[in-house]
Amino acid sequence: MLKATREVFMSEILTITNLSKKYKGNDRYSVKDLSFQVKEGELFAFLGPNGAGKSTTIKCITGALPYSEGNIKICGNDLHDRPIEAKKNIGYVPDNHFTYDTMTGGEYINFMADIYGVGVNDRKTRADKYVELFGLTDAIGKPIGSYSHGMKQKICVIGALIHNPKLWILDEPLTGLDPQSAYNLKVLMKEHCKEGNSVLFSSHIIEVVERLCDRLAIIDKGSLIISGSMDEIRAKNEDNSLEEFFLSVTQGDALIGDESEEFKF
Amino acid sequence: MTAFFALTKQLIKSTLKPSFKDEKEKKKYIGTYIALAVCLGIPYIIMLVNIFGLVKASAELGCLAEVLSIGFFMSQLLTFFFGLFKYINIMYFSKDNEFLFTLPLKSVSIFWAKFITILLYEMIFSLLTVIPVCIVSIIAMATLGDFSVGILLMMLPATLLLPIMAILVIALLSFPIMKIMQFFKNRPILGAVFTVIFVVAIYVAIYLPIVLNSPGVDGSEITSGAAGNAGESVSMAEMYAALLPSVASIGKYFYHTYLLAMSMTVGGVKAFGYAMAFIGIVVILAALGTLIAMWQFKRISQGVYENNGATAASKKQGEVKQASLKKALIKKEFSSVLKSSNLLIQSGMMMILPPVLIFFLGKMQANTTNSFVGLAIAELIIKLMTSSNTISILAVSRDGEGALMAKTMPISANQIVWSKIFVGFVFSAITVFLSTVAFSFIGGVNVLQVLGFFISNIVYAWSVNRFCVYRDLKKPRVHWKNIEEIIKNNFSSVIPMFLAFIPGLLVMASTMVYGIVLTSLNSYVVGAIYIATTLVVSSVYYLIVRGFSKGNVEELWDRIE
Repeated sequence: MLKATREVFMSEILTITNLSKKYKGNDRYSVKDLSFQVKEGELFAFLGPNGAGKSTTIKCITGALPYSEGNIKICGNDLHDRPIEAKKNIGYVPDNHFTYDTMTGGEYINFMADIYGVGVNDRKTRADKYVELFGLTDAIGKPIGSYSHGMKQKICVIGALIHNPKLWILDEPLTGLDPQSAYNLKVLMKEHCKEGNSVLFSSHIIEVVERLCDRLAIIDKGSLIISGSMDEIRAKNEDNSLEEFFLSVTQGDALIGDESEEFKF
Repeated sequence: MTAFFALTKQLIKSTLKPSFKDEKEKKKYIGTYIALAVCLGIPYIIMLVNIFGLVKASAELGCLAEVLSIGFFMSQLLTFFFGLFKYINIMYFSKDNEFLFTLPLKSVSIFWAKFITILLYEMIFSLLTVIPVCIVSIIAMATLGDFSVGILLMMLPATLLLPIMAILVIALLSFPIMKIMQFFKNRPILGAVFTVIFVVAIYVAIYLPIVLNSPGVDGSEITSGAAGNAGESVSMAEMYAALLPSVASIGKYFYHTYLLAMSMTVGGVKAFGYAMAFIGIVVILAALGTLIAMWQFKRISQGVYENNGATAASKKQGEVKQASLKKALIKKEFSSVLKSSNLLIQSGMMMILPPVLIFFLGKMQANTTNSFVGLAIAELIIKLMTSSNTISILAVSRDGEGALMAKTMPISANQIVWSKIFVGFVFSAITVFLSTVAFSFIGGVNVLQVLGFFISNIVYAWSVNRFCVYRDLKKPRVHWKNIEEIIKNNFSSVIPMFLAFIPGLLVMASTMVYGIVLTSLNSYVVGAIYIATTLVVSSVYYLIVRGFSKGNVEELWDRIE
């Protein structure tokens, strides 16, 4: 009862209404009529098989891709009408971990802080905290071009958090991270939500989603299959595990006939 | 504003600041530039000495503004030529666009930050042309007792505004170019063909009025008319007196640069008026660029990195044919080139522009002097252009991590490398063929000149493609996500082109000497001497390239990581 009351009063950080996206030269919708909300303090997972439309949706939310139909509101700002105000509330870690290779890690963090107008004291405090947490102290003065895949991802995470965004968006965040860094990132995501912010992340690793998120949305072939809290989904799912439920609703193409029965964990 | 400055600063740094793995690489980079500066410094100084004489003569003949106008226009043309694809790559194909559009920045801010970066990159041409020409002009005028305040005052604004204007024109033209490319996104060959036609049409539009308005002066008229008696030696002053006023009159047709030149030469309130008119054109272009950028830049940029779905080629996947290894490798090379719009357009431009330039420049020169000057220009153009063949310059790099996969296959690296040289050569050979056809239409050329031009440049084309492929094999950049990354910041492309100046200038100089000094000989005899010279130069170049590329291909291939 208390939880339900709390949910009612939680303001919406991200509201997506009837979002549809069709790529140029493609007849098929990559995202079709998608609606969901991410509320304040919520860790929201976006689950779907490869090519389901997760990255497309995230790219639409962050402004990387244009969309023709529907609305996206971030902290009450419509992305079409007030793009700058909307984007100021986002911290984005893309799946390709884009950074400027000639920059040093420190320069990149400063650059991101400049873009989001973060004051000197705040940027120093946050940068020191995250650089130490991710073990980048020795690498921070080196060009990003010399970083490994995981290190690039860590520097992207720091760049995305430097302005303490209301909505932190991560596209497949755990790919390529070592176990310690993956753990640290998960803790950081939880902490970010506890501070009253929200996290939206995409994944196709069901175990991670199951353990981490407050609410989730399952998407397949561009359409929303189901969304709700873990409890709600478990209730609809009867006795099955989330993995089985996911495979059944996405018509899992990985199931290998009857033999799949032998691989129930 | 802080965010805009932070972005501009970062883009300038990441685009212009070279990055080095170690101190050795840095030293090598600096050494290469010093060597290039020394190699090109000598012809550059000779050119400045000639400009000194030209400015002095034109001031005496009352056509300084026209001559300066031509000079400024040529400087803009250089910026335009080298800037067009640089602009498209940095503005639209850059992999940072997807990242930048997620930041709280207006798309116009991103556009101008990138514009400033490109401007600084392209300002090299105006720094190397406008400032030295202005300084030389001031000195030349001072020797005539006229201290030119106008040139001094307008020198720095001209250095800045001339490339700004050229890049703004590129910016405006890039919108339809990108629209064409996006319209044919699923058919890169068609897109490339239409883009190349569009750009060539622009070049034709620039050159056609010049050719139509260029005065017809025969070489023999200069030698006989200026000196009075045929066979007597002609002084430079006499040659200028005979040629300059009519040739310089072309300068008036470049209205914008003529306004700038007039602002430097007339003095008084009029000069101020001309300067304002020139600045006005730049401001109008900037306003137009901003308006279109606000409307189109984000849309076009996002269109570039949007997934474009199934291509026409992928529908043919059902066809199964067996081919020999050699054929399979060549087919794979052609396929990878033909599927990359950007690579195809760059190669297409290098294929189509030389014949266009050779025809128009050769025609102009043939009108004013004789066919050997046209031939000399054609030789330099074809050598520079075939040396800029991106297909071979990035022969290994464009395979990306596929090159690493190829290492696991039971194929000899020699076979792979040969197929890469061959495919690059096919594109260059088409360039040489089309250029030869264009050259034969200049007028006044004989069959020996045409034959010599074709054969020697075919030999040169094979050599230069071999050189480019081996160079890339020694140090490929295979770790990229988007091929535009390696096309964009590609220092390697400059080296073969700079090196092409050596054979290019050698053949050009010797051809001009034959054409001007040996006028008393039969043109077929001179043609035979030309064939011999150009074949010797191309063969020596081939032998040097063979020596350079003698390293163990298998070993170099194994070193790729």
